[in-house]
Amino acid sequence: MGVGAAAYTAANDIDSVQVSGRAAPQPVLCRGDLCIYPGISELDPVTLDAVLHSLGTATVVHRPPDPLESSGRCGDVCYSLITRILGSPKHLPSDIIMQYLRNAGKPASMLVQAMSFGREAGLGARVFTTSGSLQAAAETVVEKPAKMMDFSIYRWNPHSEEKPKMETYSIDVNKCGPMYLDVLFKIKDEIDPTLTFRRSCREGICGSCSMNINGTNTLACLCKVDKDTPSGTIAPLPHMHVVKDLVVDMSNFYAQYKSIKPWLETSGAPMAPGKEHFQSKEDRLKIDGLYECILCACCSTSCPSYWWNTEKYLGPAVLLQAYRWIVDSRDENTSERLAALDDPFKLYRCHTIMNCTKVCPKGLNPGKSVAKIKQALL
Amino acid sequence: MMRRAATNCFSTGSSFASSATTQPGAAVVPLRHLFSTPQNSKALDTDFLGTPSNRDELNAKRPISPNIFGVDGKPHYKFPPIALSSVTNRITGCMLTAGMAGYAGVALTGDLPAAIEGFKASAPVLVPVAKFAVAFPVVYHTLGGFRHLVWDYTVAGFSNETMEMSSYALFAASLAGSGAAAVMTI
Repeated sequence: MGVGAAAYTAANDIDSVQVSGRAAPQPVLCRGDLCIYPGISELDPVTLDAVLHSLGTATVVHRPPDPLESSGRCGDVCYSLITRILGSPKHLPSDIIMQYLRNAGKPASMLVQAMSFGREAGLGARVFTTSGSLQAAAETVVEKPAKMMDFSIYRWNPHSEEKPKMETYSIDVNKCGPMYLDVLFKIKDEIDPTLTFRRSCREGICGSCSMNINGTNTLACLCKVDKDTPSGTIAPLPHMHVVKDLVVDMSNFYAQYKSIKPWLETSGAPMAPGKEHFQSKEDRLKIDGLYECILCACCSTSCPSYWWNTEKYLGPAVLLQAYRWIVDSRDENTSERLAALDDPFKLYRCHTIMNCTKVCPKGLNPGKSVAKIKQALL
Repeated sequence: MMRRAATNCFSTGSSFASSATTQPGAAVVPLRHLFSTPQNSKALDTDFLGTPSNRDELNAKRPISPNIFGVDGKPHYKFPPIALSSVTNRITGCMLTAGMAGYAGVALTGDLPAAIEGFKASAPVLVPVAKFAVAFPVVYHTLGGFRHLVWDYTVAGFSNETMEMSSYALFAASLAGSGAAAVMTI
């Protein structure tokens, strides 16, 4: 089988791959008629290797490392695919696979090939329990036409004299992952590498990519791009000191979190090592909806009271955390904790504006926690 | 002198924090010691996270990110109905205060009932408008106040859905109530 430039242009499976301004690339992996080519930011050779291995492909052709590709990453869906194949082999939804192939710029027919590889290798039952529906899905999906969207993004560079401004980037959202974080990565990878933002887990558990998207605070990794709209707006968390672009100074927020002593406090002798600190099921239930907070600060920075009293008012996130320790049946400093919050600014700057609960990307209710503290202090 | 005192306070705070972190179960220092220093909330208690010691200096040069208005001067934050109902409560409160001060001013310096009668005689068309302008803040702020009492005493109605519903209900009831007050004469 040919895997060179000629095969690249001739192979009907791969002809949708676009690599502008560069020589036709060598394939990353090949088996039979199936070759996977680099040049798309979502492609990560190591990960693809793992995918094809798990699909039962034996022959893997590695190309020499290319510095241009070394920054390539595995997109959300790519990781989902790996996780689902390797982690929970019983279920692999067709939309995930199709999305993965679309992201990677691959035609839908590749899925059918991958499935046949899987079956040949005896992996069909393990990986593709719904192979019938997958095949049907694969046959109905056609390559989507380009859909350009304009993203207006807040930019400020501390090393420049320029004032903050909104800069607009136009990208094809049909060649991009589904979330706003994917959009940011696409812009950073392909248009402007100076675009600066925080991110880590890309699955809504680290709280790093909190920002203001289309006027509302949320996590970029959990915020889906609405392709029916012509544009989107991305700004930093509101009313915070901007370090650069979408990165804001969180030190005040963290200091406030520390001030509520976010740890278990008991009087008397410490528990013996290895001994559990028991709690009834009912008591344990009281911290549901509280312990899940990831401290992304979406709620606090959505709160006008917090905007105007950032340093004195603790804000919904920190008050929710405070309440988390107040209701914990194992904590013995409840009255001190309450007394410490009984302050016109720390607690009572809350006017039940409720932006906090509206924006919480984890679906928690910080506003209600603040009300519970107020009620406990009545 | 002030600076020096503050610095001492910071270092005490962080040394306490580190000992508490290593032995959280055995913390015996009263909580008040940490909580009773609101004036020192600027304390850089997060140096262990890598916060630079000149944070305040850096922040002084940094812009504040968009909140109500964006960098283009257009509205930025998209306020949900509940937030709008909250700010309306605040605005109507201010209107009541200003209105009451205005009435008091007129009453102290002149004849308030005569002034009202004079207004009614000179611009009868504007009477319902004026009554609405007075009635709306009164009705809205009163009903909004009751909602606050319910919230604070019962912690009821805090879901996003209920909040939105109660906000629309508050607007609707206030508009209806002030509309009725504007056209009725007691």
